[in-house]
Amino acid sequence: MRGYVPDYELIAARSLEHALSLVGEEWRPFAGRERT
Amino acid sequence: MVLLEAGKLQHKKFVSIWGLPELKGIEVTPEAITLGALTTYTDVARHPLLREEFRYWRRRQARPAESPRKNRGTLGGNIVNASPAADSPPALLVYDAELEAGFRDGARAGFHIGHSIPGYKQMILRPDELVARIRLPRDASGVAILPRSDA
Repeated sequence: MRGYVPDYELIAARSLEHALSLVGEEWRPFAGRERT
Repeated sequence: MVLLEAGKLQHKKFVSIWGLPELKGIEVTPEAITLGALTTYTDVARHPLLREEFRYWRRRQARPAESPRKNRGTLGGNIVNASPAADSPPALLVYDAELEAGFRDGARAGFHIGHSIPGYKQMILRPDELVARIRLPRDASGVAILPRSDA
């Protein structure tokens, strides 16, 4: 069990176009798995 | 990823690109090997042509690292992190690797990795760009591996 949960918004891109659109809106790309 | 988990990144909005097939895969042509930005260290280490034709890179990759990092660490991430301690960028520089970046309305291809990292943790990318692919020319004939002298 962890005592600290980082306060980030993390979403999964649906497509490359979606990812590029979000990166253009100041979202940072991240090669991690989205939280479920 | 460590900084993210520790809550030490100032930025608060992240988009996961891990599931994007467009950023994966290794394509081989007679002229070049092109790797998706999500190619992992393990993918590189296991690819027979990369092992055979890019021996200096193979030696860099052989440095100790734990399996989770090799399995999840990506080539694109290793490049854009622009750390002087990174494994791959020195080798990619030796082999004249070129990068391709995508952005919302297009792509920018063919820029040399040596012109992309001007300093410590600095990467020349537009804020809306994403490194998509790394192209390695298959002519490594000018590359020699010399023994290191500790003297």
